[in-house]
Amino acid sequence: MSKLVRRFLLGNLWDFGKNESWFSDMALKGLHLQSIGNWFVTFEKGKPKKTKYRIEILEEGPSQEQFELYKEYGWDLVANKQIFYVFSSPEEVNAPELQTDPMELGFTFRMIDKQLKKNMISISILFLTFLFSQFQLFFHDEPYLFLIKRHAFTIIMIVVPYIYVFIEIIRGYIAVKKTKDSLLMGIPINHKRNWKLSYLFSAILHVYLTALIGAVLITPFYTAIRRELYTYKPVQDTPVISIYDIETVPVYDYSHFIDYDWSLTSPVQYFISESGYLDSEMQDDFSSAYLKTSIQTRYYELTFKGMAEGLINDLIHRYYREYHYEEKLTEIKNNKFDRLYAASGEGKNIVFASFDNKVIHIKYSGKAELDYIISLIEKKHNL
Amino acid sequence: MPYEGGPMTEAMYYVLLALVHPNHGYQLMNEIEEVSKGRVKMGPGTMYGVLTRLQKDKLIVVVNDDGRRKTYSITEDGRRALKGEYERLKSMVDDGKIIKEDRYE
Repeated sequence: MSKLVRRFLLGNLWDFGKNESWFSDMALKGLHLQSIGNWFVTFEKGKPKKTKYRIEILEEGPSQEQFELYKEYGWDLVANKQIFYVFSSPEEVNAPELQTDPMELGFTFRMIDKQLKKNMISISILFLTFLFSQFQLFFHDEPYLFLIKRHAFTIIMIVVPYIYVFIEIIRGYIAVKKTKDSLLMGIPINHKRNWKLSYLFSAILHVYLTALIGAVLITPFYTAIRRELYTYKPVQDTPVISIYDIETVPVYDYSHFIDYDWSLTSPVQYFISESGYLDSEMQDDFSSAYLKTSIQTRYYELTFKGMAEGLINDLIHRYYREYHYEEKLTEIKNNKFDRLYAASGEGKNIVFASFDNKVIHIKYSGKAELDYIISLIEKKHNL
Repeated sequence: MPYEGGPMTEAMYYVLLALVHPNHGYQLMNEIEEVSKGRVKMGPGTMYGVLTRLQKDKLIVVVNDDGRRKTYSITEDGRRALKGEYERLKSMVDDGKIIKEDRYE
């Protein structure tokens, strides 16, 4: 049993000339075409030999006589996939060409071109419909909050295989159209066309798409690991402002909730909610001996700094309106922050701030003043 | 695109011509060479391509298919087309006679 070697099918089969010269170059290295699959081309290892290859389209099941006739002309069938039949002939035999009339071959290509055009139109419509349904997700009113989600990447990347199929169909169509046009002008197929550049391009595309698909598959696992690492951190060790940073008096009945998340666009994300009670002046009716204090922080570090502004707008859109604050949100001029918005009143403070690639949103109720909270952010992040 | 008159390729013309008598691929090749007195050397790929196309255009039909080989024959439409092309070529040749007659000689 001789050794078989597999190579990725980089060219489009409709590109006769490029594939034929590729097979010939392989034969010169001792790799002789054996079969063509969906993804791989199999070669049999042997002695280097100058070999000519010809691809023929035989739409209707060819008769035995046809193969015999080809053989008599010096051409042996070596591989077949769908309507593509590949024949080979040793160079020294000097076999006469199978195709002697470019115009006639051009008519065959014209028929195929028509069929492909029909397919292309229906597939394009399907593809665009699919794309639209996918990307509608982006057209909601808080696009940045969507983009920083972990599964956003997966959702976007689901499109990748479809793009791949679409590209292949277009490549095939372009190859057929170009061949048809030149054949009908009487120019025969160039059996020695250079395949290297277009195969390189194709290889890069394949590696890129495969890497993207790989990333989609790995992301959930990676996220799980990262999440595990961060969940049990004490609040003080996180980049957010803790209730203990704010309050100078003891906090009773303290409880907290911490949630960490990771995504490609925002590798560090915290949602932290803390609450407790502070000593307070006793009221005449003995109520409110303790003052409730609570803080909720959302903190994001972004991969792209450019997303910060969009994210802060989305956060305001979602959380400022959600809580129905009566106090007006105003922009505060502060050269330590890229953007700083705040609203305060009735023991409540709400802050939206961005600096560098970081965005933070704080909702605090308690005794502390707004300016003090802002100064804590500055201190914690060395602004 | 079905054939609607007009110039034929050499391959098409000779295949139709050779199918005036029903024939199969192998003999067809020889017949074409014979009819053209060895001038036309058609590749088998081209010949089978023409056969497929002519069949689709209903200028020829398969009269026998025993699994090993197919025998083709020209149809009435095929005959008409061939005749039309013959007339066209003939008048082309006739018109070209001036080459022989005068100053070009």
